[in-house]
Amino acid sequence: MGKYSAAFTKGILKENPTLRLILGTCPTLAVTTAVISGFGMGLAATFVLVCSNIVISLLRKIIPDKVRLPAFIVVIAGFTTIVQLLMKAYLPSLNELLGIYLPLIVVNCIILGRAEAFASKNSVGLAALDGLGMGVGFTAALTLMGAIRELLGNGTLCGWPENGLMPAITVFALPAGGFFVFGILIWLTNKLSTRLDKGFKPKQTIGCESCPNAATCGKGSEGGEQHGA
Amino acid sequence: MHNAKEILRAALMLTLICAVVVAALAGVNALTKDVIADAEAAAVRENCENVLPAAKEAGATFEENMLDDSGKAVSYYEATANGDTVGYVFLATVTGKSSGLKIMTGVDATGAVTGVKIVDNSETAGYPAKVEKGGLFERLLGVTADHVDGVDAVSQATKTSNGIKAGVKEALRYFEEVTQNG
Repeated sequence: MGKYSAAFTKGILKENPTLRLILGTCPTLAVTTAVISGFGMGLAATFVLVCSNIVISLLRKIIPDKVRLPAFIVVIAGFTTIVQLLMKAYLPSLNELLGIYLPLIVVNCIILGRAEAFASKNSVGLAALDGLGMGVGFTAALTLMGAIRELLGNGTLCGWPENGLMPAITVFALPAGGFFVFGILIWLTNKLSTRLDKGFKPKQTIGCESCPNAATCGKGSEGGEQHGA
Repeated sequence: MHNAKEILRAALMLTLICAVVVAALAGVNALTKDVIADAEAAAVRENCENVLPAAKEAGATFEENMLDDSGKAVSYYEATANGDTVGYVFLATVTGKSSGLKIMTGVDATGAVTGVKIVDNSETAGYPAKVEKGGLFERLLGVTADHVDGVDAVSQATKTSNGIKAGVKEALRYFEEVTQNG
C-alpha cells in the first residue's frame, strides 16, 4: 500500500507541481487574482489530469512510442474540451472568469508532464492516484495564491465583504504582485518540504540529482552534471 | 519493409485514438448544445434587463436587429411590449485606459439613458471597480445625448470613466440613427 499512498501524497507538498516542480506557471499567475477563479481552475485541471492519466495508463501498451506525444495531446485536448463544454453549460460565470485559460489547460505542462513521466509507465490505479494528488496540490496552491492576492489586492475573500476587509493594494492583483506572491510561496514550500523530509539535502549545484522529479525521471542517479552549463 | 509497417501501425493507432476522442466530444456536444444556447440567451436577456429595468416590469421581449453605422453593421436589441417600443439596448466597444472596453447601454423611447454596464474590458485591474464605487453609472442615468459630456468622471479612474462616457455617447448616436430611420 505504501506506493499507493506515496503516489497520492507526493503531489501535495514534496512534488507539488506548482510550487516545487514550477510547472503550469501560466495559469498559476493568470487566474489567481481571486479565490474562486484559482479554485475553479484547479478543479478543472484536476479533472483533466485524473481522466487523462487513467486513459493514457490504459493505453500505455498499445500507443506506439513514436506517436506517444500526439496521442497524449489528443486525449488531453479531448478532456479539456469536455470540461469547457460542461462549464459553459452549467457554470457559465466560472467559464467567463477563467476565459482563455480554460482551453489552455491543453498545454498545461503539469498534465503532459504527468502523462509522460508517470501515467505512461504505471498501472491505472497508481496513475489515477498520481493525477488526483497532483491535482489536489495544484488546486491547493492556486487557491492559496488566490486567497492572498484577493485579500491584499482587492481587500476581499471570495468577494466578501462588499466594502473590503482592508484597503486594496492594487499591485497584488497585477502580474507583478503575482510573481511576488509566487516567489514567496515557492520559498516557503521549499523550507517546509526540507524540514518535513530530514534526509533530503538539497544540492547546491544545479543537476538532475537534486531535482524533485529525480525518482520518476530515472536519470537522477546519473549525477549532478549541470545541463547546458 | 519493417519500417513501413511500423509507420503504418503508428499512423493507424493515432487515427483510431483521434476517432474515439472525436466521437466522445460529439456526444458531449450533443448533450450540452441546447443548455449552452439557453444559458447564453438567458445571460443576454438578464444583461439587457439590467440596463433597461422598464422592460422587465413591462414583460417586454428583446429582439436583435441590425443598424447601419456609415457602412458598418451594428447589432442592437429592441424591447417591445404589446406592440410599443419600451427601449433599446446598444453595445459599443470603445477605448478607456486600454482598448476593448465593451459598454452596454439601455436607452428608453425618449432617448434617456436607463442603465450602463461594462460587459467586457481589459482595463488595469481595479479601475472598473473604482468607477462603480465612484457612482458614474448612477450619474449617467436619465442623461440625454447633449448632456453626456457634462457628467463628472471618477477621479483616479478618469480614462476608464471617459471611455464609458464615449460608449454611452456612441449608444445615443445609434439611438438617433434607429429612431430617425425607423
